[in-house]
Amino acid sequence: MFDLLVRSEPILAAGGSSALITFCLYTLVVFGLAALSSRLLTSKNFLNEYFLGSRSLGVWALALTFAATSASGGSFTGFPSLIYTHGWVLALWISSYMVFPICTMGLLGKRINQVARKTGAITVPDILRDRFQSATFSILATALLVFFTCINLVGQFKAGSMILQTLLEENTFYQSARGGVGQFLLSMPMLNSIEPGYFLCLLTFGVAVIIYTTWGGFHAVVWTDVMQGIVMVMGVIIMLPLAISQAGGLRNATTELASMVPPHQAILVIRTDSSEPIVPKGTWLTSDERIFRTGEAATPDESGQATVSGIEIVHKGDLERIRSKRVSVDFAADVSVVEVTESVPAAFPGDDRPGSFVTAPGAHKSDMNGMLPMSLAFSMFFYWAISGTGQPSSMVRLMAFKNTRTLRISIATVAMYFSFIYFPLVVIFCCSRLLLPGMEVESDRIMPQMAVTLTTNIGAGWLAGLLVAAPFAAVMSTVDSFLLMISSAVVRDFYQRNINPKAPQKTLQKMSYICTIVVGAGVIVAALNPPEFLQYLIVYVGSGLAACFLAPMTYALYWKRTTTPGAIAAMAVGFLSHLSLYVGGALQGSGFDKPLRPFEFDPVVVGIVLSFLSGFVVSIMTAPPSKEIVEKYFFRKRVAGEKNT
Amino acid sequence: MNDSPSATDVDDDLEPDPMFVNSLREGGWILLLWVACFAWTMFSCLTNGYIKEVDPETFPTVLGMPAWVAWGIALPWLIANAVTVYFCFGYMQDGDLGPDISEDEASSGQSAGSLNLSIGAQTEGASHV
Repeated sequence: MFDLLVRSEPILAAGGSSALITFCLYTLVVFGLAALSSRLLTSKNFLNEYFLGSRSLGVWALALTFAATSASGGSFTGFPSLIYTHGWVLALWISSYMVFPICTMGLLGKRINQVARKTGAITVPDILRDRFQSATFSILATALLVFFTCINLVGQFKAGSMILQTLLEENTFYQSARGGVGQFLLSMPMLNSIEPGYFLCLLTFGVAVIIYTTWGGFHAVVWTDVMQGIVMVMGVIIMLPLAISQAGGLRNATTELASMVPPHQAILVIRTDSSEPIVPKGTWLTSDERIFRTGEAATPDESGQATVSGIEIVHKGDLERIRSKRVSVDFAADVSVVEVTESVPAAFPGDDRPGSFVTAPGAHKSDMNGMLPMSLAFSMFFYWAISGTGQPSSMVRLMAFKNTRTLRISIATVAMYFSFIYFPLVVIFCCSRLLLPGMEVESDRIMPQMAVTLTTNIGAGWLAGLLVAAPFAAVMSTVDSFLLMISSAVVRDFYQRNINPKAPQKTLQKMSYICTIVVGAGVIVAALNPPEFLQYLIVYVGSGLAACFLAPMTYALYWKRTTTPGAIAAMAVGFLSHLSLYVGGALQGSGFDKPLRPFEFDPVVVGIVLSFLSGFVVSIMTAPPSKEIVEKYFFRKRVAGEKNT
Repeated sequence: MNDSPSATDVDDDLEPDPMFVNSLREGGWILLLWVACFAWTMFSCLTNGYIKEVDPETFPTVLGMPAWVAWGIALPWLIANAVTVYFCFGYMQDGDLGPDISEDEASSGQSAGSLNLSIGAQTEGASHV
């Protein structure tokens, strides 16, 4: 299940202690911010302060909490992995980030904040409930929010644990703690299949996030987001010049990439003379001038032989760099290749044609259409900017800023911020193909491996700790926001508004704390054994939330004629159409990662379009909303002597 | 089908909320920006980026990146940033977001049009004017 048996350069070997120190300092600052935030909770209206920071966010707080929450662990783990694997085409894949901030913050920002103030709403279902005067709708929205967010949280907790492992794996204190945990797990029948390092890091990560989120509430989350946002951009800004210079300049890197061909997919029969019971994943092997790397851990039989999948490096430039030791590769001395059963080119390009790393649709080992066929490029441009607008976690932040000037400046700030993150990441990890060949077998580790390589090459291994903190910060800033969102949905939308409207502040306070802890603990338990296809579930969750919430919220804020049945239809159709495409794909045997794509459109495009359509049609066909509602949300008392805008 | 309530249906002493009107207009311009970037990027990249044959010796680059990335993504990205900054500082209107109704008021149903807070008390299909 976990790619832990990997033979590679020891990550953070030079900075094992500094990584631990970095992590401890980082955690201390996070707890300090939580302590400061908790002091605010005593003096203000509890729920409003705990879940929304009393709508007092300033420019930097709004900009960085928005940016940090949007950039999840995927931005610093999955995205670099994709760039490394497929090349420059990822610039097209991510290109709608050029309008992401203005779309996600500008389309709904002012109106959602105004309406939230007008109704006293502190959650997304709160707004929908008041606007459409329907408890049923509110409960539906709350249920979908909790469902989607919990799934996402499990994946984020897993990612947090994996990154923390990478950060600490060479530290001796961590290693001895892992040994102790391993002994404990072996004695527990239900837990003995869990990898001890993963368990330890999951517990450390989870408990830290739960404590500071519970303790400090929204302000703690926002302030830590600010710090985490700074860590992320610093990491990228430091890596960019190092990567370009060590690759011999960007022009050299691109020209070299233009001549590259993806490695062949190979099946090898290997023999080991070692007494070790397992040949780890990532073992470098050479035979008759050919160079291979194993893609999975192998257990040799009695004769010492095993069959294993892997890759064969076929690009002349890579072979030359490895042989001339310009890149550091440790060949296994005690493992030899007996036979190469198979060595076939990637599915795209299928003929070892050069250029797939610098052109679209990009190299792909198993898809003959390449990484980003044209139809998918259309969908992705739609996906980031438009579906990003429909994310409830973004909507919550837009309910929390203090005035419109704050929003204006924050949009411009986030636009600059993302420009300094995403495009440079494409450049950095295109350069990484020259510095780290053969990482296809463990591409999820490209970020920390690149951090170590870049800093070690300049004799500053200690800096790797800071660079690896960037993805950790990205995961943490997403997790804390989601945790609070679930807690607010349960306490505010379900308990207070449906079960006990007159609940005293003390009860709500106690419930909020308990709920945050219980949800967090539940997610830790679920993350102990996450499903294999969790990454695909996370993709499903992000697009599913947009398919459910974008149309109802847009209609709520901007279309007077929207009716309650119309809004419910928009949400239900968005959810069901999106889900059915995924289920259809799974039933066809393609797996949950390959949903049906009608006319080549991604499910999120189909879901959002059908959601808007159904909301429109059902609203037109049902009785209009009451005059009071229309007046409340779309009109105001005429001000004498003031011109209409 | 029923007629949609319009400004003529509401009381005479009311006017369209300027925050709503401004946001709607600004939203239109934002969507237009999205469409412009979409059209530019897709046309440019689909025309120049999807190449079957590449000669590594003569592969065109601009500032070290593939030319199709430079003209189809980096340039519109820069322009989109400039437009975003202009939009935020030169076009977007400030306005009064209004007072924050307290949680007690909201939950006790004092805010205009707020909902009776029991599950059974739904007003779906509320009567209109």
